[in-house]
Amino acid sequence: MTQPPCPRTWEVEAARDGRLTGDALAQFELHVTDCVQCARERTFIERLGERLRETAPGDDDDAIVRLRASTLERADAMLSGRSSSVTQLRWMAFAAAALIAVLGIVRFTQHRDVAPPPVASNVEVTAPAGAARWSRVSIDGLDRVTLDDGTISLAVRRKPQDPRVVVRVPDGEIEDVGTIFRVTVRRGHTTEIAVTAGSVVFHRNGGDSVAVVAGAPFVAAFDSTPAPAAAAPSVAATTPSPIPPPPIEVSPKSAGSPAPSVITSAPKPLPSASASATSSPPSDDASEEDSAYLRIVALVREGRTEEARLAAKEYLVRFPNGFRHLEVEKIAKAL
Amino acid sequence: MTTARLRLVAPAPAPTANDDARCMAAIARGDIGALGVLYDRYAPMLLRFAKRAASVADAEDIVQQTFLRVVRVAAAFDPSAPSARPWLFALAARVLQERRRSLHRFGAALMRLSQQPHDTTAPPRVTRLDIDRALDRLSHGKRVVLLLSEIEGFSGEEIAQMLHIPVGTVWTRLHHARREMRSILEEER
Repeated sequence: MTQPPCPRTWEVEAARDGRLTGDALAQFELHVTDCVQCARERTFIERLGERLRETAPGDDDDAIVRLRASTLERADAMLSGRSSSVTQLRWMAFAAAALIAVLGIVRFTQHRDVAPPPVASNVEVTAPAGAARWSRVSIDGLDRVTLDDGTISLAVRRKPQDPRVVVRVPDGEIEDVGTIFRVTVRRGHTTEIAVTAGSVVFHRNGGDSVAVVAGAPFVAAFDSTPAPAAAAPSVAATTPSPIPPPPIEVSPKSAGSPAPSVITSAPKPLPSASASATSSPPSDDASEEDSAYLRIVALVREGRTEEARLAAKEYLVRFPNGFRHLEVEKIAKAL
Repeated sequence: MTTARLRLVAPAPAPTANDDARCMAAIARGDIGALGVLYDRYAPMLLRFAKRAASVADAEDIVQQTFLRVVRVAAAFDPSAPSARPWLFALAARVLQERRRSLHRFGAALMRLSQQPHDTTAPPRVTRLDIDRALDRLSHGKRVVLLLSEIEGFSGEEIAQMLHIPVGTVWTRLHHARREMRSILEEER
């Protein structure tokens, strides 16, 4: 005669998964010593776990080492804003060299005897003698000045077709969008960015981006979290591009704003939160979702509750199937 | 410049509670060396998980995508968390989920099934092939939960947090995964 199923079989998994504790667990252990069905069930589940672990794929050291090199290389390319593929860079360099050779041949065959105009430097960097450690390199359409310590002044006069100008500091990157400015680094932190004309955007590593305009310097104590300068007008953020945006104008309405917009960014700077911002259509794009989520986290950490709540609502609309939907819902309710 | 940044990291001792947080903070600042440290610490177990949760062919790409995602979202890591392991597995699960949407794995699974020899004489003992076949036949959600629980040793609450599902759903999926593994393995005998 077939025995009816034991009504306590469910406790086998509950005990294994840690859901049974204390007296309930002790009583179940007593039960298993008498119940053949539960004992058999427990044996199966334990053996299943053992077999899963025993037959798990072994470590492939070669694959891990190989994967490490390519992963770090791609990550480095991501951080530097270059192409993630070394092969692609080589082809681009090859194509550029071929183009230059062709142009040279064309000019030669046309018997043009005009000396090429001197390359005008569109960036002047000055530093008091021995007062700053910095270097400069031009690569891949980017004019990059690296400041390790000290103070330098830059005067940038670039046309839309000229390379982008970026000052790399230990804790971020300052992109010129048409300006004359001074930047100071102390002990690995950017302590001051003062703009004489135009504006720059300071992309802080792993944090916000700050727009700095003439007359509203960015000042931070190097041993504390940098704070945005006070009494600066709100500035709409722009995605970095080779073509500088139109000059930023201070409107009378925004002149009295207490602080500049701190623009959250993950891979790119995002516009400041605004109650009048229109929601974008729903999206499945993972990188957009990551950026939107990071923005919410940054706003919450800064205590910008209202903006965080709006950003969370926008996330829930844009990413109805988002990976962090549940978490963002909780954040929106809590705010 | 890229080569100069890469360095061989000797196997590190077991990380302390703050090691992962420091690593993440460094990665958020753009420190590639810290990414290498994190990779050395967790890549082997992530690769092992990905091989089973997806396929051997896809596993390396999944692990790479996971660490590249770390570079983008390291700033969101909670520094008070005792370890980055659940967070990394959650990212890997996310990458897996995104790949699934492209039917790539379905096609690869069909290819693997068609290539595996049909053995009419099942060995008396459950082999690795049996286990792999049985895992392949589980749904993605059940397979991931089973692997995270039985092999990686995460608790139900940790899995729920990683996958952003209720903990009750974790127990349900685990229960059904075990049922199905049993019936599949018995079927192949």
